[in-house]
Amino acid sequence: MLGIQILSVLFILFMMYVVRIHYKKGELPKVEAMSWLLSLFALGIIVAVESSANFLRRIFEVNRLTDVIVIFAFMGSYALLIENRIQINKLRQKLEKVVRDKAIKQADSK
Amino acid sequence: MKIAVIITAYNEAKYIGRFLTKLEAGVGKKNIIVVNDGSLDNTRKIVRERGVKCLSHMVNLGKGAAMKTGCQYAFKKMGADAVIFMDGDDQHEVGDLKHFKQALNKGADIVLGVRQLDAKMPLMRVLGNKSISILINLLFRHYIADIPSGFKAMTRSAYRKIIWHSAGYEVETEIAVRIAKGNLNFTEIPISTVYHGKEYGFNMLDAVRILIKLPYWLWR
Repeated sequence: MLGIQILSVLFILFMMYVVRIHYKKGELPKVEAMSWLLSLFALGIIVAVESSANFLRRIFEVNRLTDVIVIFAFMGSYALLIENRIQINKLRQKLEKVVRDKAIKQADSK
Repeated sequence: MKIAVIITAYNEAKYIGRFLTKLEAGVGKKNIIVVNDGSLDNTRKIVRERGVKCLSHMVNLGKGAAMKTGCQYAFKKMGADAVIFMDGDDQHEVGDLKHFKQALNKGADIVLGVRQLDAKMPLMRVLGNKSISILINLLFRHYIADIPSGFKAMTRSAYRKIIWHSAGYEVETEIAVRIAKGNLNFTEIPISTVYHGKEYGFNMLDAVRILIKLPYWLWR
């Protein structure tokens, strides 16, 4: 096994541990935690046993499996980035409104 | 014309007391609104003890958000016709307020304070100010001499046209972009400024934020 594969598998195991911790704390719903664990497990198999994803190379007609993984990783990262950005903006606007309304209400009550 | 003076303050316990002493003598307590933006020091306590209207954010939201809170209170609750913004760190001269009031009473919708580019202003600040002014001029053909200046005034109708989205220090640039983009009439008047060492709220990170957000303001 190549060094990069070992590093990737260790990273995947660590991320599975992170998902488990958050699930135990009740911060992740069961379905979402299971989805993350399954996708990480599948990624771990693909990384550790390259031949396991030969069908992907055939489907996407590429020579190297790495290309498929990189493209999917970028797609996934961008989807998460945009979703996170939208959610953070929404939260910021809600927080600003709550804090402002409370400040004005408290000023009037005194 | 009813004019409210909005002071934004974050951790200004060192200066807010002496600044309010001067301000109260100039405009009277009932026309002052201090927006304490989640200060961790005694800013809130000092303001309340003086009997000045204090709007307190329970967490720090940023200068833009604090200015908006002050405007909402001034226009909706106090029935003000115009507001004048000043910083709570005692860097603005209360004596300059009369020039803002005169300009508003003469019909100006937006009045912008312009600091003198003399030896007192740090070189990096001079360069930053000029760069952003030139950039806005290139984009909109409107030259606004001192965009980061926090000493400015606007009427209720101007506020409705400008309403900003920025929560932090980048608000000053967003206001300038909205004035220039909306082709709104503005008057500039020279102001005096006192610099307190290196205790500036605006930093390089804010400058980077402005550059990132500029295309968004242009489009929106």
